[in-house]
Amino acid sequence: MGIIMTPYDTPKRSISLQTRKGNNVDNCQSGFLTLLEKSEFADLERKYPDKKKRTEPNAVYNCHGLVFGARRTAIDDGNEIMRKIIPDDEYHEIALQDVLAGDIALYFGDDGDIEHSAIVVSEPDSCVKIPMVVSKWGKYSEVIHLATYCEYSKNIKYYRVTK
Amino acid sequence: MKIRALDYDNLRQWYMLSNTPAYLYKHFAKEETLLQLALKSSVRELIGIFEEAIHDVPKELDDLITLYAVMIAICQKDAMDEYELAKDFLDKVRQCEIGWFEELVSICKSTRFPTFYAKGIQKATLVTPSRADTSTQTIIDQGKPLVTKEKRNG
Repeated sequence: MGIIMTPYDTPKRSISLQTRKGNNVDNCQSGFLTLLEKSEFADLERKYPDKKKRTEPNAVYNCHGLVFGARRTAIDDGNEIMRKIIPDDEYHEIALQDVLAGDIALYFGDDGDIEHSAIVVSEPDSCVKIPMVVSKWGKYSEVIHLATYCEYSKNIKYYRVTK
Repeated sequence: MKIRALDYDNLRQWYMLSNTPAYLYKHFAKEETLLQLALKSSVRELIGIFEEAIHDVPKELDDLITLYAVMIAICQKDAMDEYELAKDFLDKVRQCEIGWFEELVSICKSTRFPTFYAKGIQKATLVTPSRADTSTQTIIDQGKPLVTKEKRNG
């Protein structure tokens, strides 16, 4: 029998997470997925049949936690990324045609906020000039998909750490 | 509890894709039916709906979405006469132990009520114009007016 959790009960916990330069990165592990939320994942699965599901749904980490927190925690404030992680970890923006596996993709909203992030798993080929990425959609699973095959912003920039 | 006027299919989609509270806030705050709800209801009415909705533990995801939607609808209200009411409400609901509520209230306050809540403003100075007409007060920070508020007596 599953545990019935309501969002009222969701405990919060954070772990030590720092940039290369030793600045703390705010983070939060919720860890629980409510039955209410689980019941809604089927819709996402129907809407995006061409994605490849990589993990079970979980609420321990979010997309930014996948990319910058090694799947250990959720980074809830997108500003932490541009303000701390990108400069401290020395990420550099790269052009789409230069993208390689291992680079990261940041999805920017109309207001310049980072809405989503992903890790590139294969470079764009000559036919489909869009890389494949692995990302996490909210509390749903990690999924592998074409970078643009998702509900998030289509304003995507790619970054790489070179040294 | 569901509100007939809201498009739950749309709101549910944004909720499910939300990686951060900011993402949820931004997309809920742009959602057409939520904006209509905010437009057609007073802050007092919205607080009434919220209080009714929070009375029961949510049984469906839509019950939870109602709480988020109404809270964010209140944040969209601009009417100055209901400003204090909205502000007091947000201070109260911040204590609700609902996932992301604290963060959403912070976002709301910093975007909709920046004068009183924006981080980094060390000291907002209340300046009464020196002219004889003191029907308005202007709250300023670093010389820039942030909001002009009707001065109330009593």
